[in-house]
Amino acid sequence: MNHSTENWLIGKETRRALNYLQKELREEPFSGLRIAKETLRLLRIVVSSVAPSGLDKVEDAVRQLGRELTRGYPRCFIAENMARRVLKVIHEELQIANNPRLDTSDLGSPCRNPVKNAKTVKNIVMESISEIEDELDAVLPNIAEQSLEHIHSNEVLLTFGHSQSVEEFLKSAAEKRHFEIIIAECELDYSGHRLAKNLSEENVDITLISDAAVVALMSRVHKVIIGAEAIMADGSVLAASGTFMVAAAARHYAVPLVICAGLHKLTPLFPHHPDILYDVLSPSQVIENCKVWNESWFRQLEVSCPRLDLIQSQYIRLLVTNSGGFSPSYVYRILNEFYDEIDTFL
Amino acid sequence: MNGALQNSHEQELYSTFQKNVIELFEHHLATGSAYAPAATSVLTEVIKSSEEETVMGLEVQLKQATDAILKVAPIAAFVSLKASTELFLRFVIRTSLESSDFEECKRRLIKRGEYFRGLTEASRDKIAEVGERFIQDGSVILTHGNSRVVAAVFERAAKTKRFRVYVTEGRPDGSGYSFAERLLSAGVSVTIILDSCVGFIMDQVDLVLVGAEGVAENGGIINRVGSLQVAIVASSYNKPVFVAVESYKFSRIYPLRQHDLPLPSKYREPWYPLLPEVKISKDVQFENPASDFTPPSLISLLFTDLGVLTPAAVSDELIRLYQ
Amino acid sequence: METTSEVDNRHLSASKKKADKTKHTPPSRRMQYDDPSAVAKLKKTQIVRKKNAERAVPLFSHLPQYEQESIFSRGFQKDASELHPAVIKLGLQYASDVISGASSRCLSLLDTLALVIESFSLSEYLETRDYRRELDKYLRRNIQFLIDCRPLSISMGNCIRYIKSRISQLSPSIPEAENKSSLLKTIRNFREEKFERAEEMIAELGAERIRDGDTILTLGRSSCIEEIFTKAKNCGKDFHVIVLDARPRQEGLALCKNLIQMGVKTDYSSLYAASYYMRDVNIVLCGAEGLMSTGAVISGLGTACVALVAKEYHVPVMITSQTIKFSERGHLDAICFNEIGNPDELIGHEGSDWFMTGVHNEKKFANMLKENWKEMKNLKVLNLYYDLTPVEFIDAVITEIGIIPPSSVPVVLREYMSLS
Repeated sequence: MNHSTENWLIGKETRRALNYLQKELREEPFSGLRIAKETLRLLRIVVSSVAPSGLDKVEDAVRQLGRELTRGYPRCFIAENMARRVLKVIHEELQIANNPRLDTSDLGSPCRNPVKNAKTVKNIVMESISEIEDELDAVLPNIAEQSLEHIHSNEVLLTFGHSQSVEEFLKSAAEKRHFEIIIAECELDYSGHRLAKNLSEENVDITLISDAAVVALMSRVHKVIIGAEAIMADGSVLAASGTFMVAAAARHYAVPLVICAGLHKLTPLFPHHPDILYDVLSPSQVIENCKVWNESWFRQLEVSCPRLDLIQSQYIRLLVTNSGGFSPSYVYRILNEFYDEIDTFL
Repeated sequence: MNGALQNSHEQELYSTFQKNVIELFEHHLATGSAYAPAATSVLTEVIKSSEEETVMGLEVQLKQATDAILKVAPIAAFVSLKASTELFLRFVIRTSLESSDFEECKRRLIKRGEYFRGLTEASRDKIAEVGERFIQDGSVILTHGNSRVVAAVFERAAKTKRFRVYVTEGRPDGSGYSFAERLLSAGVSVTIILDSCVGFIMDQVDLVLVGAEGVAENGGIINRVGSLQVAIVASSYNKPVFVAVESYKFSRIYPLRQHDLPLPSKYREPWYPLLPEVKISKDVQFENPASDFTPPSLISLLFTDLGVLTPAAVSDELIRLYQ
Repeated sequence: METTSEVDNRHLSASKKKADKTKHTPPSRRMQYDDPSAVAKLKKTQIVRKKNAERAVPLFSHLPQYEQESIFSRGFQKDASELHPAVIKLGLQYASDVISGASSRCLSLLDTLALVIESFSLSEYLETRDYRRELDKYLRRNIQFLIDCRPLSISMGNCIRYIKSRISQLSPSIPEAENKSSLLKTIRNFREEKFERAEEMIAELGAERIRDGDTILTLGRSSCIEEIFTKAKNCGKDFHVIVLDARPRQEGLALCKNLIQMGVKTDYSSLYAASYYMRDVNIVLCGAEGLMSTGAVISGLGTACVALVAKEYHVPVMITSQTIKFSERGHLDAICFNEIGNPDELIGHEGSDWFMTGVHNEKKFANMLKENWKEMKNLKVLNLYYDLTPVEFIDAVITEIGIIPPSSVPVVLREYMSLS
């Protein structure tokens, strides 16, 4: 559907809120959890405003919103993911509404009234949005909770850059155990420095290194723990540029690579299109404080700054998520629980 | 005396039945159906025309039909035929347990059989749809074997994208040539290479796409001999190996070594045509397997009618199918 | 990172070489800075003493870790009158990284030592003394000063060892002036053969390997690699270079400037873009600081990362190195042997000429640690200089004697580098 001819199913107010969120998405660094919550807030507005005109309309509106969010920032998978999760709930309700026999034949679930009015449907969808919101609130504590199962005393860990999940994971382990953490700074945004700062009050030994020293030190590391931007459908992971190097080094030295990420980052897309993988920033964003900026030769220099790296599933030993730890080969299963296949492309 | 007479009568009935089944099966194949859907159609028709009045009797008859089909099955289709007929029999038992009325049970079985046939016909389109997304403009793809599903993926992709395909010659029967023709007519740019050339071209290849004769419990595939070699080279070059395969080829076999696979009857015989100028002494031994087993660790993803699956998901589907 | 004592030992063993040619001995042990008795001994010979780093990294306690301060801030431990002015100047240049490239450090060392030898005269001592012994003693003190300023590199150690062996081979019966001029001539020849001609040969061999349409990825800046690109361009080859840089030493931009001015299409980015570029790269070309007898390469930090990513993508990795950089030691990792730089180089960004940044610069720099990082008691900052690239990541080494597999390093040492 062409954007210009597309009829807006969502109200003006919502569109304004949508524009605001799109702007947020373009601005980095963002917190994935915040985006997930903001998207859900928007979805809530959309559902409540469109619900009276029927469930089909709600589905279309949610789809439209998801599409808009994707369009606004194609590589932010979290907003689309939230739309997909709500869509799945709507599909289930639609199926039950259209096909009441199917519902009663399923002995496990309680019998429902086959004829439903818009109000109950709205309530059910709203309820499920609240459930997702609650789930998001619990993401960090749920991940942090598992830390003691993975980190033992006097271990040497390595991490790359900063991730909220990894920070909470490490902090929770540091409460009980003393260990050493090597932080690679992550030259893309120097977020490793932030992690070093945030951990400075904890009972851990911190060594900050440049990204280039990762291979040199990998042989002394017991586990690599990093965050992710997205978990893809085949169990591979998108993370800050430079992570591939860390993953490859870990595999070379047979050090287990552990990814800490909430399941809101799980996307049903496969990393088969280079556009998904490579978000290249413009040269003007790459070099700063540059004396050579105005020199003629410099203008002929191509400078690129890719934002993301893809780490294929064979590099990853364990995904620690808010619903527990599992291997990348199990991702497809959770995918089926969360999303409907027809919503892969909104 | 009487018993023996009855026996020979039964024998006769049985052999005509088998003959009919085989004829029907070959008729379906001749009309362009793939092996497994053809077998399902035959089994459905057996149920339709059956005069048996008990589930037990029906089961025996279906088993006889299955045996007949497997007897004439070419080695390449053996695994998928075995899988689909086994699944069908499994379904018969399950349905009979669910409903006590035999006529009702029979109706459901026929419905299921027809539904399954429709499904397998639709599955190729579905696979083409999911698989096509993995092909980009400018992709260089290597394929091995002569798979209709793989051709469907290429044909679909060729409608919107320009890409290049390396097709292996496919010794001993040279099936790669007809496959290349088929792709060429779909507008795909094709290069034929020797089977032994795979290592040479691998560094130019973006992805490997093969079909499968069967998919094992662990997500590994059984396919035309040489697929294992292709997958090993690809994995050593870190190139993804994709498999386009219909879900009815998923089967509960679990090969651990190459010799766990069914071998063709002419396994020890030389293949033809050998190079014409070659004169070879009788003492030389030949090995001529039809298929090999590629373990799941060498496979990136499977494009199936159930969607894009990781090898680990195959076992999941099978466990649910057979539970 | 050779020490004087070890240079001395080797020199002695070299002079005895003829006597026991068949005797196999391991290379002399390196100075271990976590051995108190060795440190005490070292302190006696040191000319400049530095303050031990307050926030030393324990994993590297066997390496010298000093606070960053001026050479002169604590004064000389010993009488500095014996130091040649050129040596003092060179030492300061080493210490302040004015001269930092592997080749330039070595060349400046040879030039300075030639100056020192030229100005040395036995007349200041008793004429009856042995010229060789006195010159050796004089050189040793000067070299110790250079080591105090910055540990020697492998090629520097090899150069010094060569000069010393030449000194020991001088004849006591010949007049001093004659000895001196023959020694200076040897150094000149050595310089020409091992550096100038070697670089030319490497450039030629390397340029031959570049084909039209190739994309070549390199890390940082190496003089040999720059020569290869110049040569290839002069031969009319059409190729594309990707220059990556690793923090904190970012020297690649200078290479980019020269390449662009030559008319070579050049891309520039930071180490993290290695995987992004690698799928289009045909050859990875990196410089080296030293090659170990195992074939492992010691080079600027980040080389192992690039080589590792290249291996993942099946891109061949070539190392350029003059044979003077070959060492008969074997090393397992970049931890046992390395140099530790000023941690403050990793902290903050102000003051640097230019800087790679991502988006949202202000937010980004808000992340960075400031000069007060030492207030965080549990934080250590490690600034390593060198990387050790395992032999399995390297496909070929371009040397002046040809392109050889890395496993042939000990063969070259045996065949070409015999000191006599």
